Amino acid sequence: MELSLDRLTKHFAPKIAVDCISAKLSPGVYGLLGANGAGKTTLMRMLCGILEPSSGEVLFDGRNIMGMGSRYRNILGYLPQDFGCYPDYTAREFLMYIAALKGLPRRAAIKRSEELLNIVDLDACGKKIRTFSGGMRQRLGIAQALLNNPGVLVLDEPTAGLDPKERVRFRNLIADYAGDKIVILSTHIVSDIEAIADEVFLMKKGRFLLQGAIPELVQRISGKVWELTVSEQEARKWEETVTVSNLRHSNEQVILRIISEEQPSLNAVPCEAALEDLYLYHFPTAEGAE
Amino acid sequence: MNKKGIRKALEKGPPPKRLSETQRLCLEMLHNQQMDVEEERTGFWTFLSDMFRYAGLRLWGTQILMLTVVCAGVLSVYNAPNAISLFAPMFALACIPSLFQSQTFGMCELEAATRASVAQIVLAKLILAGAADLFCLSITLAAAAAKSDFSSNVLQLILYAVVPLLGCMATALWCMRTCSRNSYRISMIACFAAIMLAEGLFRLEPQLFELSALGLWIAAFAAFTGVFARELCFLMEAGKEGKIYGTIA
Repeated sequence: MELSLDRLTKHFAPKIAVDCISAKLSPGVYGLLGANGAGKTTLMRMLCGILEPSSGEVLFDGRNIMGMGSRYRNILGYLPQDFGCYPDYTAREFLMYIAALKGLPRRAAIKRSEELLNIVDLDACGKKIRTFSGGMRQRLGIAQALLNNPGVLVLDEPTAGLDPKERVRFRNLIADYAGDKIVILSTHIVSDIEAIADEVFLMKKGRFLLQGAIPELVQRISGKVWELTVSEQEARKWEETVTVSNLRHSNEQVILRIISEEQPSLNAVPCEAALEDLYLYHFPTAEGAE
Repeated sequence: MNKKGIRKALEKGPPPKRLSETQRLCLEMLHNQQMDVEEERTGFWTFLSDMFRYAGLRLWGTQILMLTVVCAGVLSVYNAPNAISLFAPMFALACIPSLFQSQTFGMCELEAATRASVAQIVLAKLILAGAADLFCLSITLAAAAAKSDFSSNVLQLILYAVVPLLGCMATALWCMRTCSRNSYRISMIACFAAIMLAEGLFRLEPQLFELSALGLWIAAFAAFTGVFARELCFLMEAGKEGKIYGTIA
């Protein structure tokens, strides 16, 4: 099973949302990182076949997904970034409705719905969706994406609205599920990607800036992450002049984690880089400001 | 050698040396075969019955409610047959919320990524709405015919009912296919406009409802049928080939 992106481009005149992206995805978990407006959602929509590319194509096992129609959607699971639910349905009814749209036979749909409701901890909830919290809706969204046991799972911001415990549970669920499937997820929460992704794509202005395994990518900024202990007044000054990825207080002093090409101060000591540092290295300004 | 013979020969032979390896290979082959076999999926008619359960009951409920209002209206107005064109768009008005349900509740993207896709969902709803409309229009026409001031023939009655209804449904489908925003609102406005236009014609141009104007109604019928059929073709083609229908994202 292979999903190939061949010079995939999408214009929303006059802006280019996705700019000539090529990649090959084999079974595994792929994390998509990028600032708001980097083109992540547009790319995911094209991967699902619900947005036609301006040029280029998405190929599943060598066949264009736009030509495969329902055969591709049979093996697709998708969780959009913003999705609504019919408020008068219960979680069970909603899953049965989506199962009908996915063409699952009724008996199989009932069995799978029960399993998934149990996994996402909504099995005892007989309430209407209108009364659900954001986290419950998100869990229901994840469950519907998994209904048809998809070979290609596309999750746009799946952990948005989940509390830390639910996030950990979701990460474990995806890690268990991935096995021989292609899972593509985008999120702003770098730690989620760090925990489960086999490979990361860093997206900026519609292009893949970097792609590769996490240790490989993090290696690229080794020697560019520093720790510096300063007073509180000095800390403010440093924040204005360099990229500070973390700041913590210790004995009336502040320990700054600085990302810089060169040693920012003689007192700064190099430290081990993480994926979040890589992200901040490439996106030093506020999201979407560039 | 038959199955029994093979089994006997194997039992007589030396014990297998690579049993676990053979078993593992067989399991792997079986697993790969299972991966190649597509999971069972339901056909369109099962999907239609599912859609009836989830959307049809509500759609039929609103149509029956509208039928009650329309029948009360038809039976209370003067010259009921001519007033049918005023009431017919109300049936389209009643089914438009169901047709645009996914847009209203932000389910477009999610539904479009399923096997059914938007086109098949709309097609299923359209079939359900069509069946309800057929029933409701028959009752309405029967109510109009039962009125004592009946002065039109059956063909006139059918045209007065079908022409505005077809116009409204064709507009709704066109909006769904082409308008990225406000397609729901435009469709609703089109229905209200049709009602108001029919009301105006009913009051100001009564000669349009005479037998001499039948040709005009037939021409309008042909035009709207053409537009509606064209939109239906787009919809069916998209549903059959799994193409994107309308503006989803």
